[in-house]
Amino acid sequence: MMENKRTKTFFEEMDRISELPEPILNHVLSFLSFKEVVQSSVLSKRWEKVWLTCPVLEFDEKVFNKYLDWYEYRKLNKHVQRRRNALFNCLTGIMRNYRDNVISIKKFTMSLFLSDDRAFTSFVNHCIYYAIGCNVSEIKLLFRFVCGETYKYNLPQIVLFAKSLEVLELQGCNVGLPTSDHLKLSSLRKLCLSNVRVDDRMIENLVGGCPLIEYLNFNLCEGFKCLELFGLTRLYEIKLFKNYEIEWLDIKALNVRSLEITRTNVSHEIDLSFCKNLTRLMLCYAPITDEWLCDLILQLPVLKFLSISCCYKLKTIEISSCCLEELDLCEYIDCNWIELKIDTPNLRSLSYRGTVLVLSLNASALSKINLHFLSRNVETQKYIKFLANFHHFSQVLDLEIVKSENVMVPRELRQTLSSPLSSVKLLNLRFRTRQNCYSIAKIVDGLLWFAPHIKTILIKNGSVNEYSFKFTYKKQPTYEGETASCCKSLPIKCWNHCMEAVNVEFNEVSNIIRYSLSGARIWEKIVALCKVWELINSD
Amino acid sequence: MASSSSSSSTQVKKITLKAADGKHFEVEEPVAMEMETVKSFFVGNEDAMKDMVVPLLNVSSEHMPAILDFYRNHSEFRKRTPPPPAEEVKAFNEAFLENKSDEQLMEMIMAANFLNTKELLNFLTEAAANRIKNKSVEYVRAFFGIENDFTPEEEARIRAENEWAFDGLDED
Repeated sequence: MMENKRTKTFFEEMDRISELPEPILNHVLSFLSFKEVVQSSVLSKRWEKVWLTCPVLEFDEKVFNKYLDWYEYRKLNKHVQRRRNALFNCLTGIMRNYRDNVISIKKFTMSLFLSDDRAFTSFVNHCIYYAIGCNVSEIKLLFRFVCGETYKYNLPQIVLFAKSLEVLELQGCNVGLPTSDHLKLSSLRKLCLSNVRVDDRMIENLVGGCPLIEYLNFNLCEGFKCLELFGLTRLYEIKLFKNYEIEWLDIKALNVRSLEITRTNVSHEIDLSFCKNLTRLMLCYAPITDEWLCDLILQLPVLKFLSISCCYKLKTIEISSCCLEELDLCEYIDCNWIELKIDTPNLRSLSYRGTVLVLSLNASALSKINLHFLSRNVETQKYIKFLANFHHFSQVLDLEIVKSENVMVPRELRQTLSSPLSSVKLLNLRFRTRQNCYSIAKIVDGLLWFAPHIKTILIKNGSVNEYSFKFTYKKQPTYEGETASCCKSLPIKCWNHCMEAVNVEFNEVSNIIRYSLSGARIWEKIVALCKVWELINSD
Repeated sequence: MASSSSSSSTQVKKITLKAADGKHFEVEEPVAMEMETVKSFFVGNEDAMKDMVVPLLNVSSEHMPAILDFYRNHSEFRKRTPPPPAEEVKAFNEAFLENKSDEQLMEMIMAANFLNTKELLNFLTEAAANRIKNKSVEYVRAFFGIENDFTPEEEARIRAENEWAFDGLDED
């Protein structure tokens, strides 16, 4: 009893957030924008000083708002100038306070539109000096420029010697070579450069000066022709995106797990065989050849995810791997792929976008297939042959096509060809662009030929319209009470004689209907229902 | 399989925690050890585990089930290989916050602070921050139950010091 009473009063005293220790209040603040952080100073006396030790400082457009409107300061409006300088002084004062009181900064971010403006760059420089003086562990300097501007912010050299720095993200900067000794970023784990100009010597120094680097991301960088990554034992992930000027690329990093290369002008064959621990590889617009790809895959013993898109030099793609689990292939317009040979016993997911081509597939563990045919005119026989490859492997198939005719196989062909997807139980059909005039019943009829005895068909037309059909079947095919004669000779019994019931759901903009149909002449009922639905929604 | 797992679960040591209002909670040892406060209670005192009741002075029994649920789920997420999809974690976290009033959230932050668990504290402080994002000073005061102890002159002075931050602010 005594104890209960005591804790009650304790609770009453502790009933307000303001009683929490400063680090927790700062923690709450660190998720807010800097403007909001500063606003917290007027909450109460307790809060007046809390924000001055907030470990996350983010100067973004919200802070500079009206003071930095690019057009305004080109006009040199005196009023704006004065207010802008006051803001700079205020912010530099805040940062100086951090340094003078040895308050550590965890993360310093500056993200805004910049122009070639002396007062402004000098302000940015000061902030960076103070942040580094506070042993900052994360710096993000993201500068964007008005269209057509070639100016870049010159990164102060002090950043390249910041021992406490663990994460460095730069956008729209010039990184020049230090005049004194080699740069040293001994704690750096993550380096992201976007639209940054660096020359060859500098990039060599930069990469060499970060022994603990784990993550590298170069995006639209310029100024260097050669990128060599070796001896970086902790390097785990590399992303190279549209660095058009790179001509020589050498990656000898044993522990890299993930590598993405998008659009490169490297003309030599990139040697990736040293990256034995790669589990994830993405190549997009890379000038790779059939032999190169085939050889590389054989040399990567733990590769789990492979994505190849728009690699225009490829013709016959041969992928043979025991470890591969996910494969993503995208042909795109400029390519002329002819054949796919896939031998991957542990592949679980396959996604293919492109034209209908010759396919040979060994992937008995496949459970997820996504096919997306880009061409409008599909040669029916070739297409059925392509689909037939999946017949053994998967019960679920996602199919995306350009127009409804692609799934409507002519009557005469249905007699001579066998259904390509007879083991598929769930089919998701999607039209890439919204089809305006087509008959749902005709499509379902076509799909039922592709996959007889299918349990569920989902059709998505554009982003809002959805149709779903869930079928149940009888064991014995009957037609009006009699065993249907046509089924006797066929290996797979006709769906239209076996169908017992169907649950239909149509969903179009704001209309939804649900129907359960069963009994004799079920197909005729489905057709009638579809017609009524189309009539209602025709206007 | 089922019998072996149930027999092993009976072997898991339980620790009794006592909430501020005197209610007892029996908690599996690994879950209890997620809380630094409970952990430090047993440091150098391992023998006492069986019969000791750990008093949690600052945690109301109202929040105990939710807090324990958080530890159980998140420690399971951490152990799982491959790691759970982000959506699954997000779905759990969203469900956790659903129907929690601002006041309950504050009480839980204080509890997490007392229990000294970084993960829960990070999660709750971010949730609190999200609730006051883009809100006026008056709203934030009401949210946290903060009494404005400034005189109008004092408040005006502070606003003037960082004038830019109070520019063009919606007062609602």
